[in-house]
Amino acid sequence: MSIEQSVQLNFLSRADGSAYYCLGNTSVVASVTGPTSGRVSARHHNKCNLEVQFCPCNGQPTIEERDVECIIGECIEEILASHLHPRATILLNIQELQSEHEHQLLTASLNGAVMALMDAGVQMQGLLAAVTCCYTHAGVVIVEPTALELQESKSSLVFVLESDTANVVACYQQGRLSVAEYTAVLNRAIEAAKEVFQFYRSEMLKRYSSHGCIDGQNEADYDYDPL
Amino acid sequence: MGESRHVSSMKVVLPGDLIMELPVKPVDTSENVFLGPGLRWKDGVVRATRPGILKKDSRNLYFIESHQKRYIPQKREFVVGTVIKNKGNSYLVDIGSHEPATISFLAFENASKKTRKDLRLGDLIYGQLLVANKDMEPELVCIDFYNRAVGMGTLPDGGLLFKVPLHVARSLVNPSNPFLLELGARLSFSIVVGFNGRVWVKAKNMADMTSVMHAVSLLECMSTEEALIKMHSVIDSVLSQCAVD
Repeated sequence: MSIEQSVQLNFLSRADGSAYYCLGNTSVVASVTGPTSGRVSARHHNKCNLEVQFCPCNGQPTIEERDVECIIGECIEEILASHLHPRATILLNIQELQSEHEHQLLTASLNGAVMALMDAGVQMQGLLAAVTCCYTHAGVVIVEPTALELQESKSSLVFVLESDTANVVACYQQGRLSVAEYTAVLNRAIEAAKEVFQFYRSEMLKRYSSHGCIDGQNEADYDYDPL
Repeated sequence: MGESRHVSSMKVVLPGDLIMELPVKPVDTSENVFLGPGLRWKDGVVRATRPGILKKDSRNLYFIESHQKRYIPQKREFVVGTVIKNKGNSYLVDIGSHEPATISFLAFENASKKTRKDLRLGDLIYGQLLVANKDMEPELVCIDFYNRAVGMGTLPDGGLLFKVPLHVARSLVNPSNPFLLELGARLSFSIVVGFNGRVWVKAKNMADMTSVMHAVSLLECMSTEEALIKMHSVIDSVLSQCAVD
């Protein structure tokens, strides 16, 4: 993947977890609050309720933003261990800061949301990575294309993939493709998703090794009360 | 407190990472594996559910040490809470979890129906969680098994309450942590640390309390070794600032 990604975890002080995530020219801030008490009407007796709020960088949220909220919410619910917090609410706020294309924005929002959830320490069964791809008229697959390449392409797709099995959780596509073409794009997306997961891992390694607890210095004996 | 156990850090894990395969229960009990916070056993494999450092102690207890700000109640943990509502026979106490905890007016030392404990809204309580279950609201008590307070109860007026991330609170209550010892050598204060990340400090004057708060807050973003070096300059600057005011 040629595109550069960067993240700053624990970006907001008041939220339980937050991430300032940049993917190429797209940047978002995602923040997680929860599990908290939420609206009584939205409570479930057996699982937690996930509320996603997406704010565009200018103007009020419109129907398109609600669409993005729904896609992100349904994807995140797939990995959340929601049965562990019945009657609670997890709030996920995503603020767009900069973007050039809606596909890139969806990709950055989803990756940012997953990193914010990891920062908050919300229990999850796995991880998700989103990848933008496009298939040009010349029959070339481009992973993480520029906004211009997306506009000029025959078909543009966003894949949301799961970490353990590399299964497709969601696919958002514009433009038609044959089965063979689609499979070619998917295979490239699976390869690119591995790099995203590797990025998550290196960021977490940075975060936890900075506290000097990983290289064995802190293997302290301490009293543990088994009761 | 039980015997001292050796805890070793293994590696940094992410949610969904495969930790080990545990297809059947071992017959020999010495091979039993205990799973602590952050790990779940499903379909014969153990997976992580939180990012953090995988740790193991000498009796095969595996757990994940992760950084969190939001408290999830656990049975028998000591917490600091704020009284938010009087419900007649019980009080509602905010302990930072998604539901407020309840505490009975009888759950204090020497409290009976005639000599009932009167709490006002906003009072701070240091108590232990008697019930902490995902399906029930948490319940606090301020007495132990033998009806003694053992340090629990309402906290006196004139203290200072602040919040720290949960891993900081856990490291502060570790008796071998040099940070509080060094801080105690510098200033005189009493401190109550709840597992829910709320810390209550009381000292002679506000300047001392503020400097303790700023010193403890250093642990949020640095290791204990770094904080020990930085601590004195932070205390000096707070004290000199307060002397000017």
